[in-house]
Amino acid sequence: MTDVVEWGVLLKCHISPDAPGPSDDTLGRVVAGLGCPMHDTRLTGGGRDFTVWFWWPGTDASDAVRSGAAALREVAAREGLPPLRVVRSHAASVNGRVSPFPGARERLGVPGAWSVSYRAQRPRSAPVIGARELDRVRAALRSTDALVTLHSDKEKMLVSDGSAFTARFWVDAPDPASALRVGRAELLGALAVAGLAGWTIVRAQAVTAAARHGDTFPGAYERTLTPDEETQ
Amino acid sequence: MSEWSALVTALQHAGTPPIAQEQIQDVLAALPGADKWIQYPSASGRGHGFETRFWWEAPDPSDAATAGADAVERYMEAVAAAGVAEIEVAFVHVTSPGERLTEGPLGLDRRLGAANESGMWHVMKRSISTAGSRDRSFPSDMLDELLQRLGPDSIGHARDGMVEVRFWVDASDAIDASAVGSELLQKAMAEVGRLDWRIVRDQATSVAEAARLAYLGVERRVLAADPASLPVRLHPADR
Repeated sequence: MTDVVEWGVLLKCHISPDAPGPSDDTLGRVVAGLGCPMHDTRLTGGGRDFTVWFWWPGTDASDAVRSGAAALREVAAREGLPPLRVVRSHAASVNGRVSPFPGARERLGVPGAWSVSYRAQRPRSAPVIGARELDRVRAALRSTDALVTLHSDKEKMLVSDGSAFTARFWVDAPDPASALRVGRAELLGALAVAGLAGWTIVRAQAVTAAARHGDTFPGAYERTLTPDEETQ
Repeated sequence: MSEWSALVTALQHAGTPPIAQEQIQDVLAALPGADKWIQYPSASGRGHGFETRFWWEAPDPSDAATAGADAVERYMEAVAAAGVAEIEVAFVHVTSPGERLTEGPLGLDRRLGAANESGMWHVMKRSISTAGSRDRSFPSDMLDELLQRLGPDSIGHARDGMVEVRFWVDASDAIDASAVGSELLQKAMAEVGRLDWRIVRDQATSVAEAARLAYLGVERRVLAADPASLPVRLHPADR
């Protein structure tokens, strides 16, 4: 029998132009009516769309979307909202909802703190790599909370065949262009130390600490994190 | 590889008046290339600002980080040309076209211009082998079979114990698309001999919503590339 566990569910709903759009207060009552203490809502699209983040039990991610949407529709109808058209749904496990970037909370309000993320891909002629090479890259990076993984960002496809990896770390820089350059120089140095010179950077990202922290699904940190099969 | 895609999120300083829609459109017009998209206010939850996606050819295309620094400079030039003040870039994300495909749907460009509503919901499912499952392997010929069953414009990636696929379905809304997609995937998984797998990540979007989240123009850039160089496997008909 499959275990019922909690899933982080996001639903974006559209309201017909013929009906009045909801207020923030109404939306607040709708999510409160779901009985989930850690959630968020946001009105978008000039008040015609809204997005709800909440936690819902299910046997799998698809089941959580189905039953979570049914519950949302029921509460929304009770609060007087017109029938909802869901234009986007997303569900992931607890670990899948935690930002893959450690250190964002600690750096909130620190000027010049940029989280940078790079995906490096091996040249075709180079051998695939494993945990030992990743450890070397991580050790060569200055940031104490650097994270180097064979898989990509949480929203992206997992690629664990040893032909690419993602390095995430923090740099101090006055602006995002400088942050990308500073981080690149540091990563290239680490690649050389690890014997991976010649690898190509195919993805680069720079994000402020505040924006990085805001990426986290509400309530994800508060839930007990244990390794699960999705993130191992 | 000289063309790159960028996603930039700019935030307004606290207490500044809202930016006029006309100015936002001026920013878009001042950016290079085609396949551009701008959203205001930002839908990503990164505060009061706007998100912009665009493609351009970097003068020094040595890697994504160098291209990213160039993207920010191009972006700020466009912002200045539009007369937008009091903003700062909080998020910049640059990738090669192949990498961008890992997060964007194949076949989006064609569907945006399509008149009929067939196959207009895009779903993503990640499944993992459940504990105790005897057969966790997922070789590439099995992935090909799976994609064949999921239909044209399906893409996927697999490793031992995990498979992630993106494909299109007919549905009435995202919840229906999620259910239709799950049923189709589970049937296809059974047909390729993989039972006892669990869906741990599930996404469904309309075409319009997918366009907001994804990157216009991925398709023709990716299909012009060598399929073997892509980080995902394409449906056999798309290679």
